[in-house]
Amino acid sequence: MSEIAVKALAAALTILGCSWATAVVQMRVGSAGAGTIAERPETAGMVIALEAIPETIVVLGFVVAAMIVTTLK
Amino acid sequence: MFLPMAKVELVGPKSLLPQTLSLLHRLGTLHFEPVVASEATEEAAETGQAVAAEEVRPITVDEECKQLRAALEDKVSVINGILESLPPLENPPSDEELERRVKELSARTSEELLAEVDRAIAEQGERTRELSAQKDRARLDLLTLRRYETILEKIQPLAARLEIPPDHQTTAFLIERTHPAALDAIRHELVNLDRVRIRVEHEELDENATAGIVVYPADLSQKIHEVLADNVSLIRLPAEFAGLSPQEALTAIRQRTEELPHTVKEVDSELAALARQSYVALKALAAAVRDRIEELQCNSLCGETEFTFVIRGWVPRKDLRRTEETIRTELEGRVLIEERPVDEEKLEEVPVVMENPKWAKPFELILSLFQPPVYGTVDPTPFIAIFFPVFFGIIVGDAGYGLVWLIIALLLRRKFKNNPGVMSFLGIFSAGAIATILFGILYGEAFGDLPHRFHLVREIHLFGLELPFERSMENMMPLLFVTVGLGAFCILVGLLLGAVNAFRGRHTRHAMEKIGMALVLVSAVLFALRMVVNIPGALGGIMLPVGLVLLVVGGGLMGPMEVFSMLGNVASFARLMALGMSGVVLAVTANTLATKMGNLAAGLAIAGLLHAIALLIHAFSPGIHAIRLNVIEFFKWFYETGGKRYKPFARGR
Amino acid sequence: MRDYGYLNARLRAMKTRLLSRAALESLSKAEGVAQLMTALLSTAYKPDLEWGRLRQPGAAGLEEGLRRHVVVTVQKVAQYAAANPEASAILRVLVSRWDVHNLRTLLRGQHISAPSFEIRESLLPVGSLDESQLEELSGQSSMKAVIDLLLVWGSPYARPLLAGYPDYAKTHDLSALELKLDQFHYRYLCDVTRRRWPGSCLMAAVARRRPAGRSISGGRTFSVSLVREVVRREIDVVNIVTLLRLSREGLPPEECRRFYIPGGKAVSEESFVKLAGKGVGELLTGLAGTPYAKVLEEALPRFLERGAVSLLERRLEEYLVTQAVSLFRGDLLSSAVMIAYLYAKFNELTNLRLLARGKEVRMPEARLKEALILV
Repeated sequence: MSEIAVKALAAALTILGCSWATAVVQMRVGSAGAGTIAERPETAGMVIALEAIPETIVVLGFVVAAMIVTTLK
Repeated sequence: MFLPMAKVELVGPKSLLPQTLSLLHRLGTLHFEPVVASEATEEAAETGQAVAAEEVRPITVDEECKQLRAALEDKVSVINGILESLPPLENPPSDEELERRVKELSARTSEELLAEVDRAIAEQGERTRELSAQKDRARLDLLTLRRYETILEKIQPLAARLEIPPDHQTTAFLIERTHPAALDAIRHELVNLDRVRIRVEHEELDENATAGIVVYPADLSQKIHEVLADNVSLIRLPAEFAGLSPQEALTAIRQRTEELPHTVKEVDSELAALARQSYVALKALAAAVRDRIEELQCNSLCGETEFTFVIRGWVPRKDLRRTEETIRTELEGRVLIEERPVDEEKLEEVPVVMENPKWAKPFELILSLFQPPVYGTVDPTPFIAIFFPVFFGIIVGDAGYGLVWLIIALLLRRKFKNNPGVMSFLGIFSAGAIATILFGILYGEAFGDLPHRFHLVREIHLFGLELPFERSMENMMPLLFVTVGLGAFCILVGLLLGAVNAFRGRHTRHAMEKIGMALVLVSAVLFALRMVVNIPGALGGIMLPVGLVLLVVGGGLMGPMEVFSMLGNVASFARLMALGMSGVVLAVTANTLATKMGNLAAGLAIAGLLHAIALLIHAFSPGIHAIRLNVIEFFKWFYETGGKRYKPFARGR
Repeated sequence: MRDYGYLNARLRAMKTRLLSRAALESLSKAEGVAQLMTALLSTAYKPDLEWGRLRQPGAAGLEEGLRRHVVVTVQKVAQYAAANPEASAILRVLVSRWDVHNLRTLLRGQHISAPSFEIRESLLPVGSLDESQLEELSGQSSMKAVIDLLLVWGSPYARPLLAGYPDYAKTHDLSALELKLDQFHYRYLCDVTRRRWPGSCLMAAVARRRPAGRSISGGRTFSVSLVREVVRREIDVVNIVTLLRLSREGLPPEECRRFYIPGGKAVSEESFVKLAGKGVGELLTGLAGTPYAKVLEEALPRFLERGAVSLLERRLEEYLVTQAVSLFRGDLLSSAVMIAYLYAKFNELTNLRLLARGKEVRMPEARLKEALILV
């Protein structure tokens, strides 16, 4: 496999893994958060923030993938 | 910014306490602070000595007051029960109408209110109870009859095979299929009673039971039941259908199940008529009684001396004069109100209410989602009002999207102008939209790369920078540095605000910790800048050790460990670049697909659809991240929760 | 899908509205039913108590309100669990004890020929029998009529009651009929929480043994294992309570075997027969090494003072509730929260009913507090 193909695959796997992990976590946080807000609307702010926290995984994954891709050239 | 609060104390003769509480309730400016026993009073209580006449102690609520409150609470629960049983009105009363009635009722004494409540319960309570019971009955009957209908339908094929001569009755029964021999034995016994006139038919009902019907002359009824009663499970119908044959019973039950929903409808219309007649009056009465109960409850928050009552609390300084004048006027100077000094050591006891300029006011909505900060600390609202739109704008950065959102926000503002919550949300959204337009111009983006495709972009050089700053793969790293740099700035501001809060609260070590962290951060930024710009390393070289020393002095040996957390927070701002880039890719893809269609209409349709999806996604996701960056990364360094929200003793609906 | 996140988040928020220990102690100090009602009006019971208060004054209205509140709460839990078939099945298991309670009440009511309105007051429509069914059952003219109606409706409880009825008709011994009901009920609970190994359904079908696929999620998930533990503990307590009652009957041990309910953890059939008819002291020795021994030891002084077996029974019940409620600290992504919440809620209902009736008859505060189970 050529170097470019390997790097492209690496970038793709990075995004894949990070997105999957984020999706799984946000699914759980989202369903629990929906229940919490339904019972206690005053927790809405914290729940919104908690829902956004796992996105760091995919964001940093994107950054890493982007860094891999930029070295392709 | 927090409204300055004034600590007040009211003193007056005990006989004027109910009147004073009612006045304060109407004014709605005082946040109660419960009166606690002074040290002298506690000591006296422990030693069994008499408390000095002038010592302030928590009020002893008298028996009459307790009984009055209990009576009002009991009656209002009945009124609320009536209101809950009545259907909602098609045309609910206006707030003004309700307010007028409540005001009228509130002017009456507690005894007059009680009498009014008793009259309302006597007039409406009984009728509502009857109608509700009728409705419940009809509902339960319907469920029950449907069950009987189901079983009768199942045995209809069996019943249809039987001819029922005159003067004959039928009895249906079930027998478990696990006892096949029992069925034969029973049939044998029954038929032996009268071979000619008794007929028994049976059929398998389901996997568990066999159904049977016995036809017999009426004079043998008792003997038949003696045989059947303990040996099979009789299908006993409700009394009103007893004695009917299965077919007749099914017909009658079906008729009844058709009638019952009409009965329910009739009861509902009667309840609706009752609601139209009395809902408003009852609602006003319940509100007035609730207000009176609140006033009686507040008795326990007051204090007393031998002859006077004492009320303590907080009033926003801007309302203090109005409060003072109203009390002086309406109570004819017999109740004194005096401002007391605020204890700087106990600022967490001061209730907090925010007041910000128009441009920052909508962002109070974000703060309201969290615990209020301690009084006297920095109000983060103006900072969020700047950072939130900037973060939002950096992420989306598309003049076309921003313009669409701004138009939608302005249109919606006209529709919801009487809804403060929605108006605040639209204010935040509008600020985000404006920032999006500005950053869109900076990036040269409008609905993706359309300006570039139509050669509408003119490159200029400003301060050594080439504008517009294209968000492409080549510019990704510089954009990353810029966003992380912005993050460093944001956290630096947070640290400085934290230092300000610490100084205000006279926590010197805490302030040193914040300043130390700020110095470490600045030195880290300077070292990073040295990689691209030629700046002397001495400044950073001095700041770093000084910062570390301050961290140790202020935060102990673990203080420097916080640096890693701070660097992580700075790195978190990389999401501004990452989310922005993913948005650009979506928009560019929409335009590329459109051009590849080869047909203008199809191209516009596909581009329109994809841009619409992008508009929807970008309306929420950047907002959530902008909030998160403010709340988690920014607030962490200065926001001190533990404040008390200002809850004035006011009449609420 | 087995997502417990939404359900548990709602239940944990609902948990904050349960009455605390301090709140219950304060309620026990209320002077009369009216004050108790007033105090409860500032809790989550408010709308339901107002509904009950409109329909009936005093203690009757309070009871109506309490009943309605619990029914509405269980309906809400069922609604939140609807998207998770496993959670819904576990909920049905947990509320099935109320079917047994309701049926026992109906049978006892018929046994003593109580008026139907009195029977209705003690019923709680949270199990598989809804309000209209319980209403219809309470209006039947005889015990047989109640059982027949259950068969007509296809209720699974009809079969054991039909099997036990002929003996009851001869001897008028209600306990035999209740025993049949209990044995059926716990057999059902053991069935649905049994651990089934992959392929065992097929093997059972081939061997023509019990119907395949009855246990929830094959009984293999952590959530089902929690329920299984709760059920086994409950069976142990039922067997121990039976032993306590048998200690006064003087029946020969082998005759006591028929009272044994299989499925428990700590009390096997052989140890049950061995301990049957023995005194409380020997019972304690026989249960050594089990958690129940400690519970009975702690309650022993009071029992020796008063001689009431009901004291020991209440302490065992307290142990069951405490163990279940401790699951609030368990795995948040399992059925632990639901089990804990329902036990806490039902216990709260029992406590409030005790308080209401106690205040009505002016029971001394100390006696009332003793009867409460505070967790």
